[in-house]
Amino acid sequence: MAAGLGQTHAVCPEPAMDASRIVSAGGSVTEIIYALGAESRLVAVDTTSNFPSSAADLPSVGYVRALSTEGMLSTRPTLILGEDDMGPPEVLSQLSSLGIELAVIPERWHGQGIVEKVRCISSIVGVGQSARDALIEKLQNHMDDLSIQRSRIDKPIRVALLLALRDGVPTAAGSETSGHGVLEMAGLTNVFADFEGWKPIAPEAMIKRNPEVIFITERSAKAAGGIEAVIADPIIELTDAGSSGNVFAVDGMALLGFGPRTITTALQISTLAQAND
Amino acid sequence: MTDGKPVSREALLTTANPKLFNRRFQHISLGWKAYFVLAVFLLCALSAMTLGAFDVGVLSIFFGEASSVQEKVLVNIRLPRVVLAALVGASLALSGAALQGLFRNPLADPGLIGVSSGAALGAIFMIVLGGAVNMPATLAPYSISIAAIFGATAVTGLLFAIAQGGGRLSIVTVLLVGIAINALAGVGIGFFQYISDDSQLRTLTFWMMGSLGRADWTSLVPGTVLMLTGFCLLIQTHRQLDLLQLGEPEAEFMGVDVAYLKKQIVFASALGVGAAVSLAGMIGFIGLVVPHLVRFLFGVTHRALMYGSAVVGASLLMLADTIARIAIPPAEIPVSLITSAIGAPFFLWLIVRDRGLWR
Amino acid sequence: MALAAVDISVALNGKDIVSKVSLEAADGCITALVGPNGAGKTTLLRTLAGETKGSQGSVLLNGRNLADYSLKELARARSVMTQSTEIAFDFSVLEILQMAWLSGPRENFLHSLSPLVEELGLAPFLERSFRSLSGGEKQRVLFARAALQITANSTVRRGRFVLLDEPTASLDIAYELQLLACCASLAHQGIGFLVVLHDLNLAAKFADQIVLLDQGMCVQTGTPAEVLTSDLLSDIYKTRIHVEKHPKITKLLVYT
Repeated sequence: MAAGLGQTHAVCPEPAMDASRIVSAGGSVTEIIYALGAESRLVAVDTTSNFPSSAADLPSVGYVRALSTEGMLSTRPTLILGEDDMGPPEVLSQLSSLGIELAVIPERWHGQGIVEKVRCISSIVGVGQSARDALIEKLQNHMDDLSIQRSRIDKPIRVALLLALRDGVPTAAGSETSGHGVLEMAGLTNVFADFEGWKPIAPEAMIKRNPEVIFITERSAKAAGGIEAVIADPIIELTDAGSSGNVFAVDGMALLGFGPRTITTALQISTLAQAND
Repeated sequence: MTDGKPVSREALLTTANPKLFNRRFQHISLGWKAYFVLAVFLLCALSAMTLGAFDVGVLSIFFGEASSVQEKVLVNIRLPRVVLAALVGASLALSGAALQGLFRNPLADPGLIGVSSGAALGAIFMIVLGGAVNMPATLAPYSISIAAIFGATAVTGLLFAIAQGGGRLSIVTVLLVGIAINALAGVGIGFFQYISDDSQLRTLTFWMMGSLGRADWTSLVPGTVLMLTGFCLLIQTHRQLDLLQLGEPEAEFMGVDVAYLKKQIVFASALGVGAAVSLAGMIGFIGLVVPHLVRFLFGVTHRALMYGSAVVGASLLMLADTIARIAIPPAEIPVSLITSAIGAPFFLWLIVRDRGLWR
Repeated sequence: MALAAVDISVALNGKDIVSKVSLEAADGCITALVGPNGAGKTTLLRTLAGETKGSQGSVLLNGRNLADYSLKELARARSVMTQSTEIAFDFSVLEILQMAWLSGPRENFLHSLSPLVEELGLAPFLERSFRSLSGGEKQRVLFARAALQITANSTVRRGRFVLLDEPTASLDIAYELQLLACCASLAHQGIGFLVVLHDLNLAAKFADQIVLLDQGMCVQTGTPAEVLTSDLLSDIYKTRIHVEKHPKITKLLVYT
């Protein structure tokens, strides 16, 4: 049974009995289903599934952590696919008590983890080998490009990755986060690697760690008043990143979702960081 | 002065001028009003049962034509949800009515005495640190609810400990302790938010928002027992609450054991509200607004007020949950947003209408 | 049967409010507690009603210590009207009066309610909001409630007491007389009254016994003639006070 209590599932579930009508609860899962060409089977998605844009035309079952039992039932699914963050647990148990299959896809925050996700979803959903292999090959190519880009880094580039900047308090990725995973993929050094999880950062810490480049999610940048406002933030201003204007907004789901786009996004941020070094 | 005629019984029992104060419906008999409120309750219950994203086909069930899936959804998912909505709504509204009477303050609310926060803190503890606690496997799905009840009980225990220490539980003391507990709970919740990982943080945020979707029959049983116990204990105090309105010493001179009454009400509220929060998260405004709505219809004596609040609270929450479920299918709106959307403007209207009378 | 204070002393926050006062208020009589502001009249009355905070000494009701009565027994034996008139919710006057109804069928209560309401002229107010009344009107209602607590819950009159704290404070002269006349007629039926009064003339007119307090101590107890003397009053109130026996009526007249 899927638990919303911070436990991860290490193993990919068995192939589904009936994968003809799928509800996808997770942005990266939806992305992969489209990438595999299996989107015709989707009957509904959650609110974090915003890519590709046609996914937004599907009925929405709510936020991934606050799913609605009856809402999902009304789409008559045969299979519910999601990751660890599906919830609440009571809804999941109600659904499985009605005999609806639930599959939780394991997530690991590195390139290979994304490939594993693709394999896992392909097997559960029953996608043909050719579609799967085509996608994996594409991903491997991107990972090779990424690896080349990574190797070009000769000295550590100090980077911070921000999830939010609210009332002057930034929330940054520490270790054990998807943000940290992306930075590692990009070969960049996370100045907050000694923190664990997403943490609000005190001004002194930000100034002391002094990142050279800062990445922030597009949504947070918009909420803070645009990228110029972020750069002008008194604490950000005092960092190397702020003073040299090396603060970039990146699509949050693409960056942190650990779907196919995360690889190309990692490549993108790696390139950006190196260019401005 | 008088014209010398004895006052007739009719004069004593009927209204001369219904417009004289804010009880527009005083001239309508209690019987009719009770029927009206029960009819509203039944209407809300029926619509809650039949409406929803998933068509449970209530009518088809009557004709024996429903699919087994429909029956299962109705009985195992829709019905417990409606029952939970009714119980939680009644619990919160009744506690609100009792606390407004106890504090002799129209703005009193179960959140005020810190019980909701205590329950929330317990639940959040379990959400964040629950992995470290060894729960027997059968209890694991209810771990959050159990922790919430512990939290509510701990707050109540604290209130009593402070009361015993001073000998008397003065209303100002309870209010201050409630404020302190709310503040402490805020610190505790903030702390847990800080140490939680991203996943727990999001779970926590959504749990706090309040939802009736977590109901199933097994988890409902302990909560129901607690809430019903709370009801009985509270409704029993209606006459004493009336007498308390003239003042605490005045009530005591009329034979009310005020110290005991305070404990009874605070304890019974903690039971009811703690159980409600543990099952449904924080749902606001019901305890505050429903008693005022009921006073508008039934007047201020606590017997009608308390029974009325229970029924109207149940109806309101069932209605709010129905709206939450059918407004943006197949997604759901958090029910607390609906109760606030209904409750806040209504409350503002009450304030404006009565502004001459409020202190 | 009487309500008696035996060596009552009350100290609050280190201050002595009442010092060793003894008095006896017999049933069937009106006992007035008079004295300057701050003499401790309200505190003494509340102690006799049953409040024990900071108090020493004992209070006996019909020979039994107050502490031996349960709250409910006490409520049937004595009622209290305090100075508080605030109420948080919009009760009607009738609902306030109904708070005096402690037991028995509602019919009986209404039966007792009727004559009292008539006597006090409260009939026009019954369905009005209590909060909308003037201060004086509220006092009359609260007095009725206190009286009803005794008259409506039992037919026994002897050994029952009504304690009133400044019941006439906001009343005009006509209503002052009406209220105390009502007390007098109830006293005639056997109920004892202990009334804190600031108006010495009212005390002179209606009280069977007067207890004069000053600075927490009982200065003099007795009939109005015994207590209300020019010298004593002038001394206590620190102003020249004259007392005369009115030529036309048999009561005393107090003036400055």
